[in-house]
Amino acid sequence: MTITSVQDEIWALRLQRGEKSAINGLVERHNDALLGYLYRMTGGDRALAEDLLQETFLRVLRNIHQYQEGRPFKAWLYAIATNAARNHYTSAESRRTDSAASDDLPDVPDEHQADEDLIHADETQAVIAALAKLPDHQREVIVLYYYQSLSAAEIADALAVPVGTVKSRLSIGISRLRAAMVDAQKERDA
Amino acid sequence: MNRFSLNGHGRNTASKPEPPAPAVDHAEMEAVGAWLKTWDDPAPDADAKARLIDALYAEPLAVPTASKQARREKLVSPASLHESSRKGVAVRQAWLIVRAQTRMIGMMTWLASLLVLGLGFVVTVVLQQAYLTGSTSTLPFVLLSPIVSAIGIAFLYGEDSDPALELELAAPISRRVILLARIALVFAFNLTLSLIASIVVTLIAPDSFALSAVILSWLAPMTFLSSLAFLLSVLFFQPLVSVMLSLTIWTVLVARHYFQLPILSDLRLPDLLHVEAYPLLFAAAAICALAAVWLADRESHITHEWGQS
Repeated sequence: MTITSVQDEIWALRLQRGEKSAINGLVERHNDALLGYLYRMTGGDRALAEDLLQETFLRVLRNIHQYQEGRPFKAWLYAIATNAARNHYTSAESRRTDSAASDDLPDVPDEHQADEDLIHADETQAVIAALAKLPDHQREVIVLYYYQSLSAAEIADALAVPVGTVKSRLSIGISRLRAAMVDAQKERDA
Repeated sequence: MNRFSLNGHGRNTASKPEPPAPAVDHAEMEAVGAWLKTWDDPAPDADAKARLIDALYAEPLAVPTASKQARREKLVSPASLHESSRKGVAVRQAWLIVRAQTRMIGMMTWLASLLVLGLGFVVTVVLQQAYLTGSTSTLPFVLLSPIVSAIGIAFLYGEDSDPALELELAAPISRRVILLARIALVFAFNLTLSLIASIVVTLIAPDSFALSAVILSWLAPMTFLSSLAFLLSVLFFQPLVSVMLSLTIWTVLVARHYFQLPILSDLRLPDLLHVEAYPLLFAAAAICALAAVWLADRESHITHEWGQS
């Protein structure tokens, strides 16, 4: 157990005790990383990611009494964030209209931008498209591993699956992304 | 335009066999990682963070009860980070997990164990004169205990015997812990029944049997056969296969010990039910149990690979 994870636990236990000041510590430490995770899980929709971030922290507050001492707080937090994202899409699926279909992707650089920016934007688009094509369970593992730098054990804890399953999903996800990466490079070269 | 949609795979596929995982080398992982990193992190927004903290402060916190408050005071104190206080939490968690698993074990498992061992005990007592020859391993319940325990344990594992497997896999407890909790329950139940039977038998015929000898005569084979059944269940993921193999092995061991069949003698099969072989049985039981626990989280790969071949 690292010192930072112990600090997380202490903040969580202080929240359980009713000390609201612990919120500052938890938000300061996890806000940016968690926003990054939800940003990727929503395909780059910053506004939605911020909504889900707030929803995640609100769920932490509402369910802090369920937090079990000894369980890594970070894994618990990402489990809540993952569920918040899943719930959003589950409920959104039933009432979704296509009117806002174009708001899922981040702003793309316009024609006045430099070539390098355009190439970078193309790469970003290709990455977003490749991640979007992955099944949810593979995308979750890939994002947590590459962008959030969680270990396989931490991902397993957050997603409530065995470590072997995490590794398997990671391998398959990487293979698919590798294929998408090669395709994207071919398209760019053509 | 690509839309992101979480279609529920994340949770529901946890119990399904994963597709074969392709071999991925380090260079490939690095290349994909570098490519993914071309998608930049969202820029930090201090105002948004401040708004978030304000919103969280506006949210009322559930006030803990006095007893919970006292317990948490203790946990938050510096001493709580000491290993000894964590052990108390671990023991309580273990107890809660074992207690929860009692509901997951079918009533038939308990009833079958009780019925078979009960009948074996009744036969032992009714025909006690025939068995009061000083040979503890001829007692009917001694022959039944290992196989009853093994069958009970064999049916603890596998999708067919566990309709709630998907739900369990969604819980923040590993499959190993769930399995160990169930095995501990079933083994402890059969152990208790066999212990009671042993005590009663030695009380009925104190001159013929020593309690320790009676207990050892079923404890070693029962431990071995239960661990073996557990390992076979994990390996094959089919309780019936595990049961059939356990029954076969037990039949061979009994035939070797009691009937001295020529074919078994020709094969130079060791007599594992002889008292001198008990340490070997305990050691084999420990190895089987450790192997099964180690393999438990890998079963989907094993079964899948075998299914592919």
